[in-house]
Amino acid sequence: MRPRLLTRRQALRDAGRMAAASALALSLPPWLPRPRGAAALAPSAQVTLKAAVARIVPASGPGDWSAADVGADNYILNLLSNPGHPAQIYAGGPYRSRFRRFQVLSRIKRIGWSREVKRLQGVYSDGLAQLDRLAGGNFATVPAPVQDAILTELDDTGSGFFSALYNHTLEGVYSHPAYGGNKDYRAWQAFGYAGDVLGVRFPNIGPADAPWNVYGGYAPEEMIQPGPSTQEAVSPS
Amino acid sequence: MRGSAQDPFDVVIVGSGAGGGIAAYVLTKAGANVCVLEKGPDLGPENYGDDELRFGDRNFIEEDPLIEPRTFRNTRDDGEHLYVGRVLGISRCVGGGTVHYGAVSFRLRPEDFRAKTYWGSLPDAEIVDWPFGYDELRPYYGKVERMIGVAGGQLSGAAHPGAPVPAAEWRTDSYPMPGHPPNYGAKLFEDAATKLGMHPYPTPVAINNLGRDGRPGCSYCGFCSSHGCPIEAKNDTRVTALRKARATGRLDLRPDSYVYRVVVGRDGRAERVEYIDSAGRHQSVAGKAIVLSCSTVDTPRLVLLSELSPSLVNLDVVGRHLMVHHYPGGIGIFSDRIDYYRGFWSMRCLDDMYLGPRSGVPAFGYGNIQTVGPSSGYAFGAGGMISTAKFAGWGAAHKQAMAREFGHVQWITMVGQDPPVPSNMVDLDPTVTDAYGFPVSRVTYLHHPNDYAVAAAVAPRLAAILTAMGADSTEFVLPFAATTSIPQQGPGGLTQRGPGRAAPDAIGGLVNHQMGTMRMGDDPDTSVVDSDQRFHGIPNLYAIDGSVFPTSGGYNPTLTIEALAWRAAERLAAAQKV
Repeated sequence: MRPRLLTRRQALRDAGRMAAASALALSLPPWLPRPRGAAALAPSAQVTLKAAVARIVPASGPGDWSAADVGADNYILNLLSNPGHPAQIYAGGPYRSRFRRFQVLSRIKRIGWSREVKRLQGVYSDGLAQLDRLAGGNFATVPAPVQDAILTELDDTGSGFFSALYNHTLEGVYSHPAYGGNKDYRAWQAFGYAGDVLGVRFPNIGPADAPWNVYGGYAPEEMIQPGPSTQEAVSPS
Repeated sequence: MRGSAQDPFDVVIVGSGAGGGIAAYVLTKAGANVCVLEKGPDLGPENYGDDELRFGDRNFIEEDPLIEPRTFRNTRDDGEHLYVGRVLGISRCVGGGTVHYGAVSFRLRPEDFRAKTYWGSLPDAEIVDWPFGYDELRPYYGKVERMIGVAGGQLSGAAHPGAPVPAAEWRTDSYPMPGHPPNYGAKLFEDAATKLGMHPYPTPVAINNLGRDGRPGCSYCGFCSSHGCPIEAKNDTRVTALRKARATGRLDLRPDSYVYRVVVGRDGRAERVEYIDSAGRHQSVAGKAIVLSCSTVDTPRLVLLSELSPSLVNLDVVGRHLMVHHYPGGIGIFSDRIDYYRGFWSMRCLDDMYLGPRSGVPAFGYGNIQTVGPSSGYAFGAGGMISTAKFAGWGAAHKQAMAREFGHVQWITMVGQDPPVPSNMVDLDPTVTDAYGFPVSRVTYLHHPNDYAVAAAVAPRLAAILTAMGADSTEFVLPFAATTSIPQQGPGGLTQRGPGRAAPDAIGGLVNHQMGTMRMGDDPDTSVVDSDQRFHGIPNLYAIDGSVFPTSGGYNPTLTIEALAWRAAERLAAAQKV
């Protein structure tokens, strides 16, 4: 535990710098997908997937990030991996430092999720092939307006593949980085979201043994004083 | 089939939530040997975490539609069903619904126990008085508040001078813990409502305020409702009632045990239950008395799966009168940050409209108004990042919508009382089965026209509060029923709600409150269980959960389920001599 010398607000201001240092210290970027068994999708389908998620949440301009830039396609590949024993369904706990130790599914959960992952593999294989077909061969290489028109057509016609792509892309962008997307917490930072603050300790407001000083979270003064504290989202746990 | 040293147990309880957990506590304390069968796993902090995806989108603790889906339709005219998925979710783990809950812990008011006397009748509804009044349940409310720990809330007399629904003068004991501080949205709500002449107060919650009972206080991390608490500051029945029950040495808690049949012997007494254990093996356990605490949706399902004789159980009433509350709500959109995701589900509330306008129409169906959010999986305004995003569309407009909405909204809602309508019900779906191979619960629910009338009456009040809070604009959130994935059609086009374009299809079932279906009453012709929550025709079979509510009241139901459970367990112990 760090010394309780600074005020919590000062710590928040410094947290961004600390986070940058912390990120450099990590040898293996945690958002990289961990390959498990056979690839969930063929390499060409993975290229199409990356191009598609980039249109669900596109960059708003140069220097901005898209869903592909923050790894939403990695998130989907993780979900689709290991259909016999889905291994990246539920992160560990209780704090973010343990999220990457995924939980072993119970027998009945494994039955349900195994069935679902197999189903989704089919949905994505067929759907991504359909995107390439509609693009005249390769969805990834046609211009963005054409890609958007193809996706709009699927959306308007109630495509089950589009529904999965939409929901999973947003899950990948905005879920905790342990699941493979939201690289560097960039999606949370972009909208001023502090994310999981439990387990993230800062010097105290109030007594040292107050729950928010022991466990992380928000002190009453912070609940009632809103405002972005984006540094918290990238602070070390 | 596995036997055990205690088999038959004094009491076998199916379910470990608000009803089963409290019953297990009371019965083990009274000296009974109790076996609790819970179909979900026994989870703890090492399984939890501030993780919206796990709890919201992937149903880690909720009823997982990949295992046990439920089906939904508005009326019989819709055919078999309109939707298969997550409907009226409730946690599937040790502690049951008290694990996901926002821990809002109200007592019902005296008027709620005599709903027919107070409100009168409505067409197509069967509003009734409860078989007993508030005074009967009052001591049990107090016992539960002290045992699990409630912080808050409504106090008597002086706290609310001159209010239209003033004081909880019927409360005679104070809360074990003081109310929590508000978050920013709740503070705005408190100030605005006071300015408008209303009487806000801290929502009573079963969440520790600083430490209590060997567990810490809340640290306001925000991931509370729909989550298990990683620091055990939220008082579910796992960390309270069941932990104390286990300490007696008389509790045999069996998680991952899916009960599919109650066996009644030739003598008309319940003998045992049959279940599938964590390894998929069929097992059986016998009890001198058997308690069904499976929830409002699953208790009638288990009764129907058991194919009990109509000479023993009033099957004409089983499953009927399902109530889910209706939730007329308002969302304020603010140019400033609100950051409603700090704190917990409901931090301030008021009762000024609870007892209705006293004259004119509508004449039924009001409730407590509270600030809400966040809860993973809920729609924008009360959800987290992912659920906000799923309502923000795709393409170039997505990030603009996120910037406008995330952190800039506050949702307030009324927990409106929906009337008990016999055609709103739970039965077995004729075609859909779960991962164990058994027919799933089918929910048939259509809002009563009165719900829409109440919504129309409440909407301007909600908008006035939000405007006084400083909202730039307000939106009325229309009543929603068993699932958000089903558009709810209302008279006059008032209520179009549904997935819309590209909205999430796995997010259905946002409503968790569920009451009715095993109606409690004195008349065996119009109810399923008697006022001791014992089946009219089976002398050692009990229903101890929210299913026995004759009417829903206008408050979150958990504390009342728990108070009823305490009372029923005491009566069971006396009647069954365990």
